[in-house]
Amino acid sequence: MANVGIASIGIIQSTNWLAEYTLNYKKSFGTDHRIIALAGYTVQTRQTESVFSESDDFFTDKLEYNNLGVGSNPRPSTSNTVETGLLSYIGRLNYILKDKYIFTGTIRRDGSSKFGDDNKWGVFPSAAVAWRLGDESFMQGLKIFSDLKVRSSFGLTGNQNIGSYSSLALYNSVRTIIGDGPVIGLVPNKIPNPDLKWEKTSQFNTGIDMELLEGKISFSVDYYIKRTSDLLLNVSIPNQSGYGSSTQNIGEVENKGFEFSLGLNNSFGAVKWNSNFNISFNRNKLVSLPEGTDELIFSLGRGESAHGHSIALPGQPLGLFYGYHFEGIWQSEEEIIAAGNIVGGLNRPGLVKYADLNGDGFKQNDGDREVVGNPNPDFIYGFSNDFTYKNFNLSIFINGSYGNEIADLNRIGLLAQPQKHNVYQQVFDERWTGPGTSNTIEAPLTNAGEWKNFSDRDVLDGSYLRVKTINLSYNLPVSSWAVDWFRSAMVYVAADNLITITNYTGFDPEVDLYSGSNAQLGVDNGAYPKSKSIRIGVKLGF
Amino acid sequence: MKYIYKIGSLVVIVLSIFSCEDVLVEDPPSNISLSSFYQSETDALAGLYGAYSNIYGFYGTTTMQYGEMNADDMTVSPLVSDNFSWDEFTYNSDVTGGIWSNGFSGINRANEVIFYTDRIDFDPERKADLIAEAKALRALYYFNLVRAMGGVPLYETPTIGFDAVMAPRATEEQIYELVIRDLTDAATELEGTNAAGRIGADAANALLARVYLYRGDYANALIHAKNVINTQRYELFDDYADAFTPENDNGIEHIFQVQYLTGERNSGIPGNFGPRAPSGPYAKSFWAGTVVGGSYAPSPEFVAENPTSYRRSVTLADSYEHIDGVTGTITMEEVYGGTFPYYISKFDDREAEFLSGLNFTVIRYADILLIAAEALNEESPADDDKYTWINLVRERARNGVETDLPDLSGLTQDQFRTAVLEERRFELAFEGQRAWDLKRRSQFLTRLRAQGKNVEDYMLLFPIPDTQRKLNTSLTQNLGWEVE
Repeated sequence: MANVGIASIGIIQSTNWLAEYTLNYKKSFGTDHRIIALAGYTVQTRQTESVFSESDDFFTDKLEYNNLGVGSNPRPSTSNTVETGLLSYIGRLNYILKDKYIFTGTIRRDGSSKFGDDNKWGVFPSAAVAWRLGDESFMQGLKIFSDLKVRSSFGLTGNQNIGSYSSLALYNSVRTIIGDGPVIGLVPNKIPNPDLKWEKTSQFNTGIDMELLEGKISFSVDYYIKRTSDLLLNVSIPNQSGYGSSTQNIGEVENKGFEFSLGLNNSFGAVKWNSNFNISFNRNKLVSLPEGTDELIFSLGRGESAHGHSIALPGQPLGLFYGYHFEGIWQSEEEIIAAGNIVGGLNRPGLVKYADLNGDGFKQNDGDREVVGNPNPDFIYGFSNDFTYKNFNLSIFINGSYGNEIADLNRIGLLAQPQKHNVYQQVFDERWTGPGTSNTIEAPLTNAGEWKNFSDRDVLDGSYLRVKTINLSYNLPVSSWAVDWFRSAMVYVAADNLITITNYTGFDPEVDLYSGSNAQLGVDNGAYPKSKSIRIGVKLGF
Repeated sequence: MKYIYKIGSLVVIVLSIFSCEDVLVEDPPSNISLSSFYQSETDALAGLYGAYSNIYGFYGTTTMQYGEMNADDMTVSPLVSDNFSWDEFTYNSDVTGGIWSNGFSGINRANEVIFYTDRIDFDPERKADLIAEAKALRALYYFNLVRAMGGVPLYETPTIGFDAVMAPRATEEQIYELVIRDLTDAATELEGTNAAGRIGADAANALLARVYLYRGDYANALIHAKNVINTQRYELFDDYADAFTPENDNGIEHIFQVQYLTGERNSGIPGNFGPRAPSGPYAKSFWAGTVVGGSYAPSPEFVAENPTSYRRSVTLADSYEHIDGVTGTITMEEVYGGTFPYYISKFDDREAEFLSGLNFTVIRYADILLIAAEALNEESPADDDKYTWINLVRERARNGVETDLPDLSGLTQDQFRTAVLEERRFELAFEGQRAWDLKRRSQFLTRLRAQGKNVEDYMLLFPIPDTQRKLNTSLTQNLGWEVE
């Protein structure tokens, strides 16, 4: 008997070291001028070590992964160490004139180990100005605003969110067979890119903060425009180089938008009500790509679902899903022939009918693909409410997103049968069993690879409204008990993610496989969904 | 005292600033980088093994798609349709993406060995051998690319920067010139034999014979085939079936084989031919009770035209023994309901199926004998050595049954030409030679059209992968394959 059980153990150990040195300086000159200055230096290092070991052929499963030596067929162990370093010099100067005009200038110089030898350092200055308009004498006469502030800033920031050693050519080991058994070969993993440097974002921001009716109503609005250049992207390169991809600084992206925030702070008799609503509208688009590049295509997903794609096109938002157009199920051979195909392979009665966009029959050509979804929301919002009545407090926080789409790549594996594992109930219920029986789910036929086709069937509306937290608490009247060592006592019941209103059929509309990626957005693929939880607790203060 | 604290803390800060600059220097603890590699002979050998690892992307199931499913003798089994597009010529212009990226990856790795080994200081003779072997590997990869797609970009040095990644296609002539130059270097420089799975002079000569045959250069094909024959290191197995069993891997007839080892690297070839009951994890799935697998089936023409002989009985079978606890024999009639009365039994390894350790033969002695016979018939048709060579193959194939496959003699040049191509068809059946043999003899289109295949003239060449043309706009497409 072969392969009676597999056990494996993996250990990851991370060591972070952070040292921060800052000097602060405050000084007032007369009553009108104040200066606050800061100079600092920080150094961070991180070392991640991992070990993985696996063995096969166990005569018992009692020992689980605790004794791999019991397996008679040990697999090769692997280990790995990754190190990164970040150095920063920071300087900040605040100048406050008459407590009404606030000027802030910052400059930082950051060095990251991840970039090419001559490009490790980036300099990122910013400047901001704020004007407490409400404090001006001509405004104070109006008696409307209890506070009014106008502010504006411009600055440059850097991003180094890539893996270590992205600029170096390293050698990986491969196993091959020569002579009587396996030998280790070494193969280069990429083209060295000593030009790899910081991704830079310049951001202009302007806004107004106001408070009316002695703080009962607060309102702020912000407008921003961000331009990110030298994007750090892992892009496909011509494979004739011997390599498939390369991390490069490529393209320019613009994000701009408005953010509104409205706060209410009121009392109705004994009930105090505190509320804040914010909503933001962001629009992003790819401004340009390097000359000679018309588009960039990125792979989405992992494992057997790794067949999704996104496309970056100049003038369009980032992250657009790129795939085939699902048109139903082929019902008959006549239908297939009439559409200009040969019956067989991908095009058989009972298999999926995709749109033939380039008119040569459906052959899974690039020309048969189009933009099939947009992961960017029209707006996102948050709404918090806080009610207090005597010793009771109820707070509710709601957030949501509207107009975004999600590539639910789990569907690639779970709506098709050939991988011989579990599938959705829907597959059984709606499968095609003959002409006219189904136009949604294909027949369980042996495959021609058709299940790998990422299409708009896998793209779903990702809009949602979620009651993120509800918290009801009661403060016991400890002070009336006259026990001086007992300061406070609270009992509470709280719920997280209790209610979600969405059309999304995946586990969780709030997932994102590639957090931090510029070009791979809104992808759901086997991520652990946010759990619903209810907590009951007592909080005591002494 | 306070003053001393201040000075002290300043010193600590200054020291830590200066000592910390080196956190920005990357020295990967668990990877070798280019600056620390190619320092010794063992480094060069590790680089060469790395280049060898790409060989798997060209042989095995890939060979079956390009060389057999795409030709007249193999067709897609009705049970599994994942090779349908190869059988029916409905593949798209990205069909070659796999061999393109694997090929150039291997070529770049071989180029690294050739480029960097030269600067390492070790025994000059062994150094020259190592470089020659890397060249042979580069030639083998380029040969696989050029025969499929025609001219492709030509690289003789490794990719170190981004300057050369957009190179346009070289001509077919230029690629073949490099292939022949590299293989000739290897045939001259190397010892005759090498470790199993590594190319020696004999393998280089054998590959040269094949390359020259493709080029129609029969004089040189003959020279290099005879180079192999004259070593007297090779002979045919007595039993035709012995050439295809794991026990005889790297045997007397095998000039160059790609190595497989059960558990380490399994060959999918035996499992892809015969139909079988579900095994392994599938045995408990909803496939249980059905008969699965067998992507490849023999075409009716192959079954009808393959003359009765021991060789035929090794190649084709009409029933098989169940394994995995199911007893009894199942006939192909039961499996396919009569559409395919035979399956390809030549590579049977029923105990192992998909976990087989059967090596994949790149070139074997029977092929060399047939190349020699074919080339001699073109060069000196009157020379009877051609009968000696082809009859060696036929004699083994008939296995003592005198009425089967009688010795050939007295044929005209043209009759012999036909006879040797038929002999290749049945001797080397399903070993990845058929499509290329038909193409080089200009019979590809007629044979396949006679089978009702919808094959266009331009399909003699495969497309340059369209995805690659988007990444490098200087790559031209082969005629007929341009897409909107």
